[in-house]
Amino acid sequence: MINMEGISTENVKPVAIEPTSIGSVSEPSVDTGEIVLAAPRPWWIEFLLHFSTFGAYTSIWLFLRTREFKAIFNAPLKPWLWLFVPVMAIAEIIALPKFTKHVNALEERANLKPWNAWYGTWYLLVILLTIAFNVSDKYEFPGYFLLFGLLLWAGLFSVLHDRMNKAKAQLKEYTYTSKKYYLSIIERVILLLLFPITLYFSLTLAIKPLFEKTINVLATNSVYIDKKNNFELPINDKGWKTVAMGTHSDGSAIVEFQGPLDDMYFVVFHHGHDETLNSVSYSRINSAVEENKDAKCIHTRTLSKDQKSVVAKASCKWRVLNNPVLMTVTVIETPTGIIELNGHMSSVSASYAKHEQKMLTMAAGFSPL
Amino acid sequence: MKISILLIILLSNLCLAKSPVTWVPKNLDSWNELYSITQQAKTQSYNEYTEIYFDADITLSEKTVITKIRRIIFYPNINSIQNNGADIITFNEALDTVKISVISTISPSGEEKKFSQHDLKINDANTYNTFSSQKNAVLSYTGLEPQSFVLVDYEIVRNLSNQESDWSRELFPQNIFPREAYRVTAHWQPEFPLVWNNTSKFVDCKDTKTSVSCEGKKISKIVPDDEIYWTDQIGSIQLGQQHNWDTIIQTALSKFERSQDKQEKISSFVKNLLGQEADIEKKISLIHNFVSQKIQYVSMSENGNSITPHSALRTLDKRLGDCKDKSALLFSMLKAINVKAYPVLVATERLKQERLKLPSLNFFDHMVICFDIQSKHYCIDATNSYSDWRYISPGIQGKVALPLLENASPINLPKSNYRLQMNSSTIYTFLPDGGQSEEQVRYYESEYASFFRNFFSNKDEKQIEDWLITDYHDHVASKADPILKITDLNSIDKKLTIRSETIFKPYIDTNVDLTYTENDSWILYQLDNQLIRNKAYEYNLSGAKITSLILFDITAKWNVKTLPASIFLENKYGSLSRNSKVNKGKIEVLTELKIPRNIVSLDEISKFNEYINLLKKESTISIYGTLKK
Repeated sequence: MINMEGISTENVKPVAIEPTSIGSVSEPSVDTGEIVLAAPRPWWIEFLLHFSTFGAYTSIWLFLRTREFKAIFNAPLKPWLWLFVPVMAIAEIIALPKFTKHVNALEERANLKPWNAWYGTWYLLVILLTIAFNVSDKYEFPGYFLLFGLLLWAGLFSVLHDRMNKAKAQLKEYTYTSKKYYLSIIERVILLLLFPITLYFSLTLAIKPLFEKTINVLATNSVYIDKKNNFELPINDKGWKTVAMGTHSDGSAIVEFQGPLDDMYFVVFHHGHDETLNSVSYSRINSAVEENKDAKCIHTRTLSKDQKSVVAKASCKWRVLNNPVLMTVTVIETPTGIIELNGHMSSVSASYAKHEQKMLTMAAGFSPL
Repeated sequence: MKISILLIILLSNLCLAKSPVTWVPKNLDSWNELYSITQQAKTQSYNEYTEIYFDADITLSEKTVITKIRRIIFYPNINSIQNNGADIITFNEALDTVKISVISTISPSGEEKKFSQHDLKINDANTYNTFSSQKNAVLSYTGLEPQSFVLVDYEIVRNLSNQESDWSRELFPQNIFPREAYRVTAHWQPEFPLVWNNTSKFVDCKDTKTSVSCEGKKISKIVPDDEIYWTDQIGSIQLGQQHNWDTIIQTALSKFERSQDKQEKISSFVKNLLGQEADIEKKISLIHNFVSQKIQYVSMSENGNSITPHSALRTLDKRLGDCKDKSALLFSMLKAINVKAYPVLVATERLKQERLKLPSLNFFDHMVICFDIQSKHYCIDATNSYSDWRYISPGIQGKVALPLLENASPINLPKSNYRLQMNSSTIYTFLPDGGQSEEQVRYYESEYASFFRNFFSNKDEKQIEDWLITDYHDHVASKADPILKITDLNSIDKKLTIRSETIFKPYIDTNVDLTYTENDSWILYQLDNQLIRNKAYEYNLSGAKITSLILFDITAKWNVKTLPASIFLENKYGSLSRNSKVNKGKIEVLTELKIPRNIVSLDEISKFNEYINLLKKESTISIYGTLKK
């Protein structure tokens, strides 16, 4: 349980606080008789740290701030417990008001008008975002939604940081670390490494899909018929559409399908008469096994619906970052040669489970006409 | 060859003469109608052996059947003369009298060359161990040259008084050569009626109270085919006396019962043969083995014994007999161990009982003994010494049969769903040097084992080994000689086992990942056998069930990377299934092919073959291994 004791603004015992680094936070020293607070840092630095670390920095930020409150107000706080607040929506219901009370106390001491946390909106947004982030490892949200949520999250805590900056600016009795733009080594590494990565993922996973060109939205329980009458693909899930060539392939596919999840698609390759059922199906399986040591593959052959040819169906499953990944390969023989339906799906567990069987059924339904 | 066989079939149905053949010359002038047909035919341009005219006039009376045949045949070229320059009139020397009136060759210039009595040769219609009253009058037409005609006019009189069975005839308007004009006429007296039926689409029949006349023109020849029961497929005109199946059965049964005398002597012999054996199945095995293997097949079926078996005791004593003699002895021996059996007549060339349009014994040419024990039905073919008695001899499965039981009618003998049953077990061990060892065991079951036992029966050990090695090279691998061993060749109640061990010289690169493809040889071989080559008629599939278990031991150099695909290719014609698993680093692949017995119609043959070709492609097994570090 998080101990959220009452705040006392009296009997403040000066404590030296020297921000070191995120990874090397030490207990405040009590020997100096002097309270050293982190110098007010521009809100956008904090924003970048919250954003670049996908919100992980929020735990550290809360830890550091509660440690400051503990020193300033001699409050019976346990800063390490605040490390867990950002991931626990229930704890936030109690913790966040307590935290803003300390902020208000700080502002009061600085003779500033206390913050009203937008009359509860701030709390609500943080708690809702926490819930959303918590379930996002089970249910997939659109990339743009998560990006928006992350930006909002970073913004919400940057706002709070900015209020504390203003209060600190009025409080001259404390000693501040001298460097306004001070960044620890780890913070620098985070910003240098993670910011480009976060930006890249934001663009590819969240922004790019928004600009993907949808060619045709496919109705649920319909059947996609190849324009050249070579094959058909049953559409048995919501949200499927055909997208521009090159969206998921190197451009050599003859048609590409985007599924309801961001990382869920089928691409169709026309191999002609140069390949065989065996060469295509086994090469895909072998590649999956070579690239993912834990890949488990199933490879079956059945007759096509018209019973005039054999359909090779393979699926391989493995995990990446604990998320399940599914690859499907369905190869058919047509008078124009070998045609392959190559499918891929990766998502968080609940969303994956919701769509896996439908994806497999669609792959199995890929048939020559 | 085929022409001759069919001519025998055709003419044997018409030969009703008494031996010796008599010569009653008749002038062509009196044959004006046929002569004018010949003249008319000259204006046509026939380019193959053609029967210009065929007329059969049959008169049934109480004691005789008179059949008058008139034919005109055209020979357009040398080939037709070389291949069909002789005809045969088959007759029963004990029952028939043949009177030949005209056999003349008309040259292109119109010159007539008469066949003389001295040119007529009579030979035996029998094979080396089969004797009957059937004789062949061979007519080698004289003076034949391209564009010649042959005119034939003869009469066969059959004496019905001495005939063992009923009289009936089946005539096939369609033959392996084209016919221009075809007519069959039958007459009878109201008190001795003749029954008839026509299933040929090439003739139209008109009848009166005492006659029927069937006529057809421009009858195309039969399209030759790979495998076909002609009597099931070609329409015919069936003529016979008025009977029902009960009277036919009674006739046959009364003849059969004549063979059952002195049962006590047979019982005494059986007692000695069986010794202390108590198990009923083993007793039947011993009796079957004795009758099928210790009684030599010799058919003495002259008139009086054409449908009547010799006495069972005589057959036992002389150790000689044909199917009915052996069946009579078998019946008697089974009776000695209290197995209640009954004889069954079999038409070995017929699968369609609906083609028997009128009751007659003449459809049947074989006899077996059937019985039920322990709620199971069995039929033993006493002439087949290579098949276990527990399954029906492959040659008669599904054939039309007539149980000689009260109130019975024609049936089809039971048939196995899978006449070809074989299991194979193979271990491929990949050797560290890139070589391979192969150990294979094949188990042939029931009818399939019977086929091999029959096939190997006239071969010595060396010939069998040579054949097996060639067979292995043809179907498994040609680059190495196996060490082969065949067991239980003569134990008809056991599976026939063929073992082979082969070492292949290094040919696999052991320094890279393994990519390996192997044919499932015996599955592929059987699939090849299943392809139907018929082009004009339906095909009777005998059914095949082959199981192949292959173990790939790649542990010397590789770890398993990818298993062969699981296969389940099933449709109405059969199935091919395959499953594989890894067991202690080795890959086990189990494949099962099932093509049940089936009659594949002409329309379905191409679809069936497409299916089989799909299965052939999937019979290969691909495995992949990762090189061990």
